[in-house]
Amino acid sequence: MATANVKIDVHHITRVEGHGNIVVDVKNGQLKQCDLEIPETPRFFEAMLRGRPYMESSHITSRICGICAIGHATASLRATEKALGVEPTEQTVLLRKLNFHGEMLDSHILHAYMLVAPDLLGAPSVVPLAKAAPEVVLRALRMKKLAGDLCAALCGRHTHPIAMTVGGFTHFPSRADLEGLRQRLIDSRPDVDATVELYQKLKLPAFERDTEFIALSKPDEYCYIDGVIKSTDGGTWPIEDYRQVTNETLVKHSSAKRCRNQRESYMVGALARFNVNFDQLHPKAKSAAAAINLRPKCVNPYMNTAAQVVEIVHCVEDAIRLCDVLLARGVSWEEPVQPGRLSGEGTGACDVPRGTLFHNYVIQDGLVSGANCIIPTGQNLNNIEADMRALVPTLLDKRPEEITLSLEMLVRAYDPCISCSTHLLHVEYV
Amino acid sequence: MGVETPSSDRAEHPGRAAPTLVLALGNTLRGDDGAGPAVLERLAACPIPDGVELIDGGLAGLETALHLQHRQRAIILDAADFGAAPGTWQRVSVDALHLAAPEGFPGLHAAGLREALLLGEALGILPPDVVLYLIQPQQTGWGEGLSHDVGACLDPLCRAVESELRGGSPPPGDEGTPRWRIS
Repeated sequence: MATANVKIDVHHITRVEGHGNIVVDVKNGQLKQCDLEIPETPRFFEAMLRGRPYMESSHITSRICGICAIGHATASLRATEKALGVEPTEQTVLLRKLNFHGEMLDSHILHAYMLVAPDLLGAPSVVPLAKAAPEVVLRALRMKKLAGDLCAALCGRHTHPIAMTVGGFTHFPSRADLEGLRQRLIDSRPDVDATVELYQKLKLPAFERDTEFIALSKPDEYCYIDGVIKSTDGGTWPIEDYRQVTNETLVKHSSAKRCRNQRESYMVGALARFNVNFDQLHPKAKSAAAAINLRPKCVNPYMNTAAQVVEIVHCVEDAIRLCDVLLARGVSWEEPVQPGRLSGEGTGACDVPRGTLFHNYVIQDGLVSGANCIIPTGQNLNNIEADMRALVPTLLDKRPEEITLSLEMLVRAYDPCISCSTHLLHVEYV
Repeated sequence: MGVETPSSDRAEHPGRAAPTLVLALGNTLRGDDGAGPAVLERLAACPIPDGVELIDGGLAGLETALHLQHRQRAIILDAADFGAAPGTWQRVSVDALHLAAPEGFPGLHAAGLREALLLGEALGILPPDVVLYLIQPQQTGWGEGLSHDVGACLDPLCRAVESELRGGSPPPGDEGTPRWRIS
């Protein structure tokens, strides 16, 4: 029997980063309100950058997030390098890609195993899951530790990296470091296979809503750094034209800005990358996708976690390849490439675990005079709400707690990093 | 004896993990938060008995639980604000800690020592004997180096840990029912 009246008010969704509320109001079977409220305080990172030396930007902005710190640092460095005419060396590009895989693995393992799997295995959180299925949680910890160690070997430490700088690195992994990491990555393949097998067994909710998917793209690799902005609705844009894609606006119930491109909303993240860049995935990742029944173009947002599992396979295999390349060519001490000028404007973009991240800086005489950071979760908020509006009417025959769980799982599927998304307001005192 | 950084994977293998672990936690770029690693550095210069591994665990995350796996004993060195005079230190058994948070398991995006111990307990991988040496900081702001009072406690604290590692009587500590809450 249809539920005529439903009122859901989830304050502080659990197992996401930051604070978000789900507010749904159905009266007489009609959806009156369906909001994802973001009540977090704006964090003013762009304002913090103004007046600071360009060398500090990556260190300040990596503090936006404790999960995507390397992603923020990389986007920040690329923005600064483009502004100041710095072209990183081949070695720097290779090390950044390998470093990035470490962070992608760490974040995806955290989400797939510790934030989403408890829902699918009927556990309220990872602690009861650890008691019920210790081998699953121990596997996740082993994989996370390897990912963190990879980051530490390349950039000093994972959270808030210290060895990444404009024009290169200030620390380099030894040959023994790379050989050790390569062997541990190879040894982790059974854990990766077990992860795919786990998601073959777990049943993600069936819900479909067509939307626009956006990701960075390159013709010759599964793109995480640089490239062009590409949409499944057609069209590519240079990174510098990011504002034409993001089109930020404000809504009353959110302290994070909203984005839209060719429709009312779009999605970024692992599922978007999978849909945009499937052809460039490692063959083993394509096999994993087939095994868990994920095919492009997939329009079920709950499958974002499945796409993360596919990316775990890709990142492990590509990290092994990158170790091989670095070992074959050797890693030598390189002084960072120095800027050719001290003034300019640049935009850096990376596809971080939760989606496409943009940093844009204006630098004058070596000091940042303007900054704009557009974070993946902010880009996804309109899409999550559009999914909620489509999903709620299909759930009205269920009990309120079942509706609530379905909506919480939907929000969690996006792996939102809400604190990152509330960076935004430009305040003028007049 | 040298200090291992967390990059090794020895602790994940039963045959390779030393029975006793001394694990320092803290950020050496945040003033007195680096007290644990500073004690560890002094210990590394001492003649430590066989079967003891020293690890600088940096900033604790969930993976810290893996360091504790396959051990008989773990001694954790960490800065902790417990309202005492700077440089005061306290030996606390894990049994004297409130691990469960009243609001449930906290966010995984900012997991620290408490979450690692909680997870380790749930996984059944905590050593039978886990003690913490908690050091009261004076300041944990930006910058390297310890305050005078915290620096002054390093030698006696190092001697206490070294004595405990050699089987001597540990200093008086809190072994009782949970009275300490860490976060």
